[in-house]
Amino acid sequence: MNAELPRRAWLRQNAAAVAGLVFGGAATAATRRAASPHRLVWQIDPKKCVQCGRCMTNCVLVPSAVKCVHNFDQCGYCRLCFGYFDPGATELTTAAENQMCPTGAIRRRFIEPPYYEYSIVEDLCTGCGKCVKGCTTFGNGSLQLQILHHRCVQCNECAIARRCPAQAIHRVPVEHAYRMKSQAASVTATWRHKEDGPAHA
Amino acid sequence: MSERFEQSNLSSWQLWSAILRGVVAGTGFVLCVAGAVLALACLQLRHADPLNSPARLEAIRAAQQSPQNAELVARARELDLLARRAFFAQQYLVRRGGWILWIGAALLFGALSGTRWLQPRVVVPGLDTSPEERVERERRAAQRALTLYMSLLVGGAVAVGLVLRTPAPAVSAPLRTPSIAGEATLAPASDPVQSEEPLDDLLAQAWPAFRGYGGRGGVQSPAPTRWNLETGEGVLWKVEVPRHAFSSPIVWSNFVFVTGADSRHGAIYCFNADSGQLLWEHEVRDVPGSPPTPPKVSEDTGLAAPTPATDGRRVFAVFATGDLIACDFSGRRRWARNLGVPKNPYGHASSLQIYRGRLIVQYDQETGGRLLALDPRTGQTIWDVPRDVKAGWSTPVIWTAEGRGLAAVLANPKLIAHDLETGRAVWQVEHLEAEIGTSPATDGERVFAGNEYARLVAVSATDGKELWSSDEDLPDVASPLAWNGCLFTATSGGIVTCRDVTDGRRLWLQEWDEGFYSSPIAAADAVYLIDRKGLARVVRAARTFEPISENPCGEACGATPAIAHGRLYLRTARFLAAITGAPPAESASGNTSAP
Amino acid sequence: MPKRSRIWAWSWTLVVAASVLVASGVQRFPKPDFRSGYTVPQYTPPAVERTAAREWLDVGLLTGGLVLAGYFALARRSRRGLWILSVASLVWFGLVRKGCVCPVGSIQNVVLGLVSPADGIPWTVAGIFLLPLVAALVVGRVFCAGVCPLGAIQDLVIFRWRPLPLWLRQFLGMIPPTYLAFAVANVAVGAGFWICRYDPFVGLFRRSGPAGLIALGWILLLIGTVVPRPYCRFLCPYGVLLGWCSQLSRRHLTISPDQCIQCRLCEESCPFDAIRVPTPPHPDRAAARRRMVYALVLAPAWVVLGAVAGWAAADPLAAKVHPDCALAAELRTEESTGKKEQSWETRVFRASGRPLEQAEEADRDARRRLRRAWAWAGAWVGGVFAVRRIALGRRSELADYVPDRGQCLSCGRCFAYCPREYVRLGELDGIRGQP
Repeated sequence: MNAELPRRAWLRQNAAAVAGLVFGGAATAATRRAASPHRLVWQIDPKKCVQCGRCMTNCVLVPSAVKCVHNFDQCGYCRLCFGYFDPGATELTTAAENQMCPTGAIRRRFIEPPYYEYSIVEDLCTGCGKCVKGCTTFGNGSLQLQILHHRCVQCNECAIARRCPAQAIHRVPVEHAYRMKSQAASVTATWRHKEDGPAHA
Repeated sequence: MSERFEQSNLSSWQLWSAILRGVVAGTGFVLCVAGAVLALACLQLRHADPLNSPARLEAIRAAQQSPQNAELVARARELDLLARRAFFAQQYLVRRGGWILWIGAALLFGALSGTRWLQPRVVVPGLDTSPEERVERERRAAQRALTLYMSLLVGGAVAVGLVLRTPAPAVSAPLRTPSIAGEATLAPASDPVQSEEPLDDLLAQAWPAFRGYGGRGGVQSPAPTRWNLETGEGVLWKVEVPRHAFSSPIVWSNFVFVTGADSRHGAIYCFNADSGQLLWEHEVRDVPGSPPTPPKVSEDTGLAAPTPATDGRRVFAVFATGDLIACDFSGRRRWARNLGVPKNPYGHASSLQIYRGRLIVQYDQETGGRLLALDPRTGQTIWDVPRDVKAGWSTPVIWTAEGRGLAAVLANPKLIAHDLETGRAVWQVEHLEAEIGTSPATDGERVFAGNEYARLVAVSATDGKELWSSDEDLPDVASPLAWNGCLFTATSGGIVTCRDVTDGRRLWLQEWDEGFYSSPIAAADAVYLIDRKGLARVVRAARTFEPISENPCGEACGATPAIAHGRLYLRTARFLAAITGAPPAESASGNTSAP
Repeated sequence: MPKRSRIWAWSWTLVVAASVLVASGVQRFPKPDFRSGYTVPQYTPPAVERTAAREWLDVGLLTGGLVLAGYFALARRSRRGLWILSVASLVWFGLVRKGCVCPVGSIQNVVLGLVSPADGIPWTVAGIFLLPLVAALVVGRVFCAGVCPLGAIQDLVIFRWRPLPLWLRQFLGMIPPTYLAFAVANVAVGAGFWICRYDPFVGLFRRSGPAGLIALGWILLLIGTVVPRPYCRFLCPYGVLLGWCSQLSRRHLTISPDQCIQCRLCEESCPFDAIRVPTPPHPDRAAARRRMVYALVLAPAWVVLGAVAGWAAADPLAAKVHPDCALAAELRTEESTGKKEQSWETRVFRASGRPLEQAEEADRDARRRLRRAWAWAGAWVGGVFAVRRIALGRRSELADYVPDRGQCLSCGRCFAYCPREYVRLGELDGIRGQP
């Protein structure tokens, strides 16, 4: 009985060594095949985004790490901003009933006739995407939803990505952590035979 | 024994113990209350969103409808403010609540461990009277428990399988999109996605590869002959392709696929054939074996000169890096492999062909050229034939003889016909020494091949016996077209020749100022010739010269158009356009009367 | 239909005007030329907080934690050291780093990287996955005792426990391999990261998350006061891998610092029932051998049964598991009822202009892969079951009290129960009846 114990120990140690070698070898081979130098972060592709509003409610954080950002370079500085004003607005003023944003997170500043600058107050923005929908449908699409990386905790499985109906959220290399639409990618399609224009419910 | 065991008798420790119990009870109570409040707040945040409360929305709507009514406006603003306050208060509560719970839990569990610390439990084990039987009993019970687990798992799974069994897709009506109006031929006779059967009968009606199905260069149904891309006349849509390339568009169902590339990465683009909307783009990255930097290619070849191909389920594209990629129609990569960076002085340009579930890749290079047939589902090689030829830029043409598929593959210095089942060479024609840029053509009985500095030959498709040859006005970029008993060739010097297919006799010759890179194609009895400046000439496919129309495309054009479902899809230097040729008078007024 | 306001009507004219502009290939509303000297601001998004240095720091801290834990468990034999280390890990990896990516979740990243090399495995993630396993091969599951924040939070709430009967432990102990197998299968077919999705404690670390999961976390902690570490023992999929590595570990924590005196004081010291007590020889060896042969013969049948179970359950559950199948199911319902665009998913699909056949094909493809993956997972669970069943029948004759290498988390609680430990520490001179 006593002889059995050292034999067992010896067997186990050898098994451990063999397992370690096999395991290490397999792991090295596997990581060599799949290892990637890219460090990845989650981000929304605004070209795919349909502004369903789930970014606001599905993030594990309160408030969501998704916010609207404004790419000024693409903005038309319109007096009638389709992201700022509610479709029912009767006057182009900053009154609450005229604003699209439910939390008043967009600031409107007069520049010169007829141009206004619009900027987002990050702390007020809920990421609901209402303004983005207006701007994308009728305007230049300069307002866009993005995951802000000083808020995002980089869940291993992004809870928003899982519920995104347009599969617009992907892991992207950290060097390109933001995917904002640029001017070059703006819509160039001609809709000559589409009399109905952009759909609006 | 250690001190700790003795200390438990001291009364001061009992006092501490009582205090700690008090703490436990207190924090436990507070924690329960805090938890309940937080749970409520979470539920509220999820289900009663104050920003979208009906009261607020209703008040705002009322204020908008009667902006003069100061009372309604004031009420809307007041409710709006209240809603915002409620919303941010909720958020604050949820954010802080987590910490409250943590602190409470730390107190509670700390106190709990304290009581345990103060009253250590030393178990003096009782005497085990019959260990053998006890151990045996326990182990038998454990084995039974394991078996129970596995039985529950298997039983549960099978029960789920039987009870929750949804009707299999094959039983319930499979999802099917109604085909494009007026395109009855598009509707598949049997459901094509049911099986992986090749869809060649359907592919023959689409434009699945360079110069159409099998590279035959035409369709029997007519296509528009009048349009103007500068004014938009007869144009259904026109969109800019994000990345440029010299490759040509292909069409399947209501998808148009093109490729493009910048200096580093190639990409596949998928457009909606009805609207021109860019449905997806797939950038080619991270292909195993792909070179870190793309090979040097000449400016007028680019990384994406080969035209993609589709088998009706996937789209395939090859690039000058040697990357060959397959995407499904939603733009997801199905497989990708690198065929080895081609040794080609200008850059790889041979396009892909598809035939009966085989993806045919002509991969000629300076040394070690190959002809491959791949499985479209997996990208695995079915056969791989080495080729003793020099680098070339030609694409195979495919025809069927006695039920088997044959491909004529041209390169410097010979034309070889391969059996597509096995890859075996069936016949070959030699003495075609030149840099070959054109692809062969076939009318099913004969195969035509020719390039400037070599010669133009017509051979029998069955045995490769030479029928005739010619040395005059040879094409060098645009490939020949055999249609309606005529062989059309267009040179980059601007000469278009029509020859009789049987004896090579010249029927007519026309000389224009501008040369041709785009290969001639045909629809019904019209031949489309697009010169390098982008003027599209349509002539009758007949033994006498008979012009039909001249249609400006607005800019330079080197790609060969695609014809499918009565539309012409044209790629110019920057744009992709769909041409219906419908008389434009009606729709012009329609635009101004929009809502 | 509500009356459309004047401004909105005006906007339609603008849109029509804009579409003319669009036709010429410019923006709908071109960037104005400002005469007042206004310069267009450049929006710079906030920088990524998680830098490479920070990720490598975490890998470094994980390595350091493992080394320290090994030192405390084997060399120092210090329960207190392990406790402090685990609290520090809970604070750092849990409360500060908020959980992701942890070795438990990294299983999925590794599987994803292996099935689709395009996604790749970042080096830091590969390290986080491998380091605790390597440590387990050398010194046992010290990761569980000292470094894992999920383990630490449960360890801190342990209050009173009773030994769980062997049959219950074996029954519940089959859950982790099942969970592991199906989670891996789901990753491989693109059905998401289920281990992360249903992680009960990460919500507590972040102090926010889905309410249901946070509630589950607190409930597990409450259960954990009397059933120590319920997640580690009866759910954790990474624990399966750690257990295997630990079985083969080169060295391992011991209850007695030198030799066991069979005093039985440690018998109920382990909250995790991970102490193997000396077992007497089998009363009826022939019967035991017969049963063993029987179990060996039955093993392949269980593997096949497991595969069948996985295969059978995959199809009916596909729509709940895989997004492609869910979409096709929704589209099918819409087609049969005639009510189109009932959800965002179908709305987006229909707007994309893709034919329905594609959803059908994606569904069919996903189902095929799911069936195959689940069949493998089921077969594997069957295999684990068969091995465990055989192991229960095997009786190695054991003289001393030793930790069960697969189950022992190396927490060091048993040290304080061993009289020899007090001799080692110099608190006792010797034990009566012992040298």
